[in-house]
Amino acid sequence: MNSTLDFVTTHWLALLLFAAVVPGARGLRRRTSPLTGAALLLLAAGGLVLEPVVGAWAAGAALLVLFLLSLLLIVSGQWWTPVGYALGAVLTLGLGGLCVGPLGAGLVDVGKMVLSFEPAQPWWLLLLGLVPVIVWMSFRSLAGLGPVRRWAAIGLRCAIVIFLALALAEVKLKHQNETTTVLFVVDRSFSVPQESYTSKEGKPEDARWDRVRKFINEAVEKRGPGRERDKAGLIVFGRRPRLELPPSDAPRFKLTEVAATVDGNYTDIGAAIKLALASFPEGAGKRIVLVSDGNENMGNAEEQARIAKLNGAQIDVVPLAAGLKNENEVLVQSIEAPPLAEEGTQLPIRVLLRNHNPNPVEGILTVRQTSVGDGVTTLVEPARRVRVQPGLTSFTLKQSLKPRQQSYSYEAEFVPEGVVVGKDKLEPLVGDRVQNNRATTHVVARGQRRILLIEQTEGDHRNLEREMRGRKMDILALPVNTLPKDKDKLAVFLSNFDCVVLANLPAETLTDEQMEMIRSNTHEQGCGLVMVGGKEGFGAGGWQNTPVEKALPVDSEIKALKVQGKGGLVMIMHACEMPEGNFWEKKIAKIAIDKLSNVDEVGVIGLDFGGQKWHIPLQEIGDKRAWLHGQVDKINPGDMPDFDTPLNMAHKELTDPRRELSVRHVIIVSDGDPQLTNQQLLAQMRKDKVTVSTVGVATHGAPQAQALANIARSTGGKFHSVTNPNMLPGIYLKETRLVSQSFLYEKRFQPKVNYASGPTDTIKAVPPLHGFVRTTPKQSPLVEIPIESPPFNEQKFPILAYWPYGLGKSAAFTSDAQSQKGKLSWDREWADSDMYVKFWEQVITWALRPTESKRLAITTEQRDGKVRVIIDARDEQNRPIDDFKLRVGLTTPTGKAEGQTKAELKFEQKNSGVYEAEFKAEESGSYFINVQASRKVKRNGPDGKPVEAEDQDSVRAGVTIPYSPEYSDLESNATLMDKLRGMTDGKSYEDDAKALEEAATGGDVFRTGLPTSKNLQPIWYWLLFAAGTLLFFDVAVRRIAVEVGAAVTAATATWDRLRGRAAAAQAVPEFFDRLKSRKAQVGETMQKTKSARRFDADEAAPVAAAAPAGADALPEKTAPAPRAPRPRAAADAGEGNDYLSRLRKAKQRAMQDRDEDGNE
Amino acid sequence: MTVVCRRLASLCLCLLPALAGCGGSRTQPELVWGRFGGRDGDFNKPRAAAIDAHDRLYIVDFSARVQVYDRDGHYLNLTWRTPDWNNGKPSGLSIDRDGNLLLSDSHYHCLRVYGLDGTLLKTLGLPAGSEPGQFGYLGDAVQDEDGYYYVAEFGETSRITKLNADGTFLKCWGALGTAPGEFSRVRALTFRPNDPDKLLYLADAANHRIQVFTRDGALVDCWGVAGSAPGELSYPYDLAFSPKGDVLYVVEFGNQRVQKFTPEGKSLGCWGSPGRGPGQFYQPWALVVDSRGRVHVIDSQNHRVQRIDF
Repeated sequence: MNSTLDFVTTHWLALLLFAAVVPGARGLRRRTSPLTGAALLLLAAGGLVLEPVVGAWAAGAALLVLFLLSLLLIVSGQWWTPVGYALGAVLTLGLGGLCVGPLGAGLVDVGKMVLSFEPAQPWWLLLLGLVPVIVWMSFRSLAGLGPVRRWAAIGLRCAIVIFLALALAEVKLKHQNETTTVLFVVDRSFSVPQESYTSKEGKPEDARWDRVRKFINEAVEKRGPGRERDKAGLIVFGRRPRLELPPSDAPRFKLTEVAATVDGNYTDIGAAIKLALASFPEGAGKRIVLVSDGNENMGNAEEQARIAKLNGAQIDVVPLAAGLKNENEVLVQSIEAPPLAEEGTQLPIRVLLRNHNPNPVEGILTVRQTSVGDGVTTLVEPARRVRVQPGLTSFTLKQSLKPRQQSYSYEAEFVPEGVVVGKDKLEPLVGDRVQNNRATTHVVARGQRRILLIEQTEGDHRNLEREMRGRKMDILALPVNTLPKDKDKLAVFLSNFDCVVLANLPAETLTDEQMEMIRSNTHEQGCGLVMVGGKEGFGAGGWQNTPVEKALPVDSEIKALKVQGKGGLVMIMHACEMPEGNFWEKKIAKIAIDKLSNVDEVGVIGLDFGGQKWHIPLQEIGDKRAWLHGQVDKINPGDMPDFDTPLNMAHKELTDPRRELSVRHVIIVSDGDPQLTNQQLLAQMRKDKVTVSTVGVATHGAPQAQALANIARSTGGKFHSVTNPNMLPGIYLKETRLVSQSFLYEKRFQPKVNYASGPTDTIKAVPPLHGFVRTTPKQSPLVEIPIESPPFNEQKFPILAYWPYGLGKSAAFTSDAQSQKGKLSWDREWADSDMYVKFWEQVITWALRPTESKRLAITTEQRDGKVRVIIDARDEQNRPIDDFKLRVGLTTPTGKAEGQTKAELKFEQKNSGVYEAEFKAEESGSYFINVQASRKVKRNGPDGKPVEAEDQDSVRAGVTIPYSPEYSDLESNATLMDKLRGMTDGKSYEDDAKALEEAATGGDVFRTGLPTSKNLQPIWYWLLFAAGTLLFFDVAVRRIAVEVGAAVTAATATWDRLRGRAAAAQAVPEFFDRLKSRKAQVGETMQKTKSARRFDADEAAPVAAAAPAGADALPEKTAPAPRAPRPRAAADAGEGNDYLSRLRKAKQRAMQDRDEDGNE
Repeated sequence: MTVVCRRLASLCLCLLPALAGCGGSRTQPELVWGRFGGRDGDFNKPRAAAIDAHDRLYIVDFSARVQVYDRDGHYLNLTWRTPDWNNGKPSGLSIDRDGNLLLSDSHYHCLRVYGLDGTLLKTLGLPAGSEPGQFGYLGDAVQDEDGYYYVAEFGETSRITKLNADGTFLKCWGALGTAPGEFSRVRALTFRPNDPDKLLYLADAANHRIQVFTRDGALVDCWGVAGSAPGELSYPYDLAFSPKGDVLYVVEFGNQRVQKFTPEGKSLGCWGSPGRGPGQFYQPWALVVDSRGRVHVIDSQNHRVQRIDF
């Protein structure tokens, strides 16, 4: 039934032709020639029987033979009529096969299209009412045109009006898209269990991944007939989704390995679905094939599935490893230690191990203690063999703490040896994941007014160090390179101190993560922060736009400056063949732009259309940073052929005397491929003090690195060889700092003390300084500037500024503190004065973390990806404190930006003196919590009267999520997968080779039936164009008359001439015969009219009746008598007496007469 | 008889435009093909090309893939990669005397000879270094009918090295510089078909000129100046002769066009402009000329090939 219906819908036009010709054959024969009927029949037959390809070949062949026959006809005049007819038949049949089918489909499309018109301004359609009026008026006015032309003209006019009305009504075309796009969304997280085997090459392989790949490849390749325009794409995901292959209609994938790097520590199905929804092309049906174990530990897949449903997308699922449970899993659930260490006590440490096997498991348990400050790792107890019973087993260890309080990290590790089967028989534990066999926790020491001074090299600030120790301050001076690089370790380390001093430190000596941790250490953990200047502090140290700058009361950037000492920097960008090379190049260019001061000039040379040119012409930065960033984003670094051209360009601009640049610097970033031919240029640059630093990124070898090094050496610049792109920002910071000289002021000046309070309490005057770094105070009412510079060119700059920042405080001292014996620095006069010690003691003390007494006890609990924080507040008499207001700071492993974490933690009082809060902790890593409590209390004032005072306290703790939640999943979440499928009415395919193969080869994933979108396309301009064109035809139809008969005659004549028949002669008479008869007809009519005019009295009167005398006579001499016709030449009679000859002769005579008249 | 003659003549007149192909070169490319991507058949910045006797194009791109296409841009389902590409990608391709593919693996200091099905037949290398008899970075290589290889190097060791058919070092000439006979980034080498003098033509890219040598290294001619006017050159990156050897096509990386010259260096016209549309180029690296004299331009930054009738 269906096949019949399909046949009818596909061949409806051919069937219609049949229907039109066969039953009405008699009628047709009567009205048209049998030839037309036969042609229509052939067309219909062709459409029914022949495939378009066969039809095309048949028609082509027939045309070719016809063409050859025509050539023969032209040359020889030979023609074979039966052959001609036969070829015509084949041609028609072929054309039927070729055209009827597609024409039918096209007509259906047109019909659908017309039905899908949607007017935006339907009122204009009222104009269609003009159509009948036009028909009526035109019918009368165009009567003289004859029936065919009249109706053609009327039709055209109506069409024009209809088109104009539709255009005015703004009809839009609804376009239905019938393709399907399938996006395979594949989970590559660690929770998907592997089916490991070793390949022939000895490589470890995963049969499950092989199966998935095969499924995807086959599904795309065998998507089935008619689905060629369907598109397929691939998204892989873990923590974040990556679009591996954008949707395209490529016939096959050939997926072997995934190129994108995926962080498998987390599973965010929701984000993957979201990316898939965003990646679908407009219009097509959308299907997601989700291949996952369903263990999501980030995001919300159900919510995204709902959005998918709303967007008309369907989710098919392949639940991986459904029903599989990993029993061979032993994990360290947690290691617990009291969050705050009391000195000299025995610290109880508890390790929780969970065994999922039904039998006990034996293994070695080791617990280590690391004190981050000195980096010493010790075993809490000697490693011991333990037996872990099924379920949860707890082990407790005791640790004596050193007399000096310190923050510690504890790590527990369990190495399973095997499952105990029977009596003491061990079987290997296959499938146990090592990642979850260890856990860490931190113990944070209570604040002891300790200070950490970070400097570039040891001893830079020895004098300050010594003086502070003299005031009983516990200060540790540390060269910056010894600071822990790992975020968690750094956080534990910093928790040992209550104030951090960054002294004359350039920004590039710290990584972004370290900076973020230092910022968070103040904002969230309440530690003090003091930045002390120097030649490499603040803007001169490149601290602009760094996390640390956010914590400071001053910005390192100087907004506008009237100073000398402009720097000019030209960056030459060559394409880097390293991963994400372009990204890094843009990043470092932006860093350079950010780190230069507003008065400096910057330019970028790259390769683009038109060769090597200025992407950003050398110009002052001013307030154009955002614009410059935008320009950098547009750069697409190309492969430069040589360095001669860009270096010449840079040299010319930098040495332009009008720019008045005191520092001229060029940085080339390149793989060393381009070459420098003109070595003299380097000498010239050196002479003109233009330095060139070269950054060799992934150079192809030593010679190329050598060439780059040579350029740097010859001009006095530096060569940096970069293997890891993370090194680039540091290099650019350093290079840029060389250019920007405007931050430093290095002359003696007298600072002005604005007020003596806070850090400057009791300090009323200060000695002169010999230099400082220009900065701009932050636009905040909280910023205080007790000491500032005298006005330079009407501008004042802060010398000391401070403000509260988050739960901590920070201060900035823009001069330095390096003067010591044998080393005179900017603060040489301060170091010799009495106020020095007092000043620094006050500044540091002011910044210190608030006191941490024993009144607050903090406990933390982790459960289901959340951490609960419980504060127990009791006073010295162990009575609960109920009126504390709590503020919380939370440092997370990802180091979220300030302000984002606060909202997540809100304490509620659950009991008398017991406060609780909870926060989400999905990321593995360390979380540090700082709780500050404050309340108003009444105390006795100095005069004995009670006064209201603030009572403050704080407490800190660290929580560690030991490993990614991926490693705690033991079985797939097939329920979630099924839910996602059910929500969108998708299909589920089993994770089984056979089932997947069937689904792939059966074209299941590309099945139709999805809602496809329709887009509305405006067509008013096409309608207008059509109306304009038709107007032309309307005029043409009325002005140009085509004589069908004449055309037929001409064609016949041509044919005859080609055939060589002597028919030309006949043709002319035939034509003139008609002309003659027409003339006779007209003459007759005229005669009749004339007669009527003359003899209207009596029509019946004999024509021969004599006229009244003189009625027709001309007056004798009023005019010359008409000249008698010339006697015809005798030869006339002899020449043809046909009509044409006579006409010709008449014409000749007329010409002759005219000539003669002219002569007279 | 005269009637037949007259008819024949008129027929010829009518058919003449069709037979002549409507005459002259076109302003639009005949064919534009290729797209950016990582799938087989796609391009990622194609950078060198060779064409074999059957007009099959071998194109190597920045992912070190050699892929094979017919002259109409149909991918022939053949892709292979060089053994390693971490140091850098190959930069030259040509067809050798035996009809095999000669690949200059620039950063591995060797020539690789591939069969046309992608099997590696042999590797010709000299030790890496800057001395004569050593290889620096290889730009391009060709083999003459007598079996000698001519290898162009770029970088500090800009020179031409001549090897025996077995790959042993024979001689080398030239150095980095701007004087005639010196080089700055030789991007391509070629021979002229039917050349009685058997000269070697090379594109001296960063000197913006073409140099012509005898096969023994004697400088015969050196023409071209930097510029964008017709007759001038900007980074000529590749060159190829028409099948008859009467026209030399040069693709200009800097001017983003193709220019044709007489073998003596007289400009015969330019084709193309910078841009992304059809007939426009974005940093083209290479070109080949097929047996019908049509030029296939490797439009590198547009990740495509344009076939032009020029």
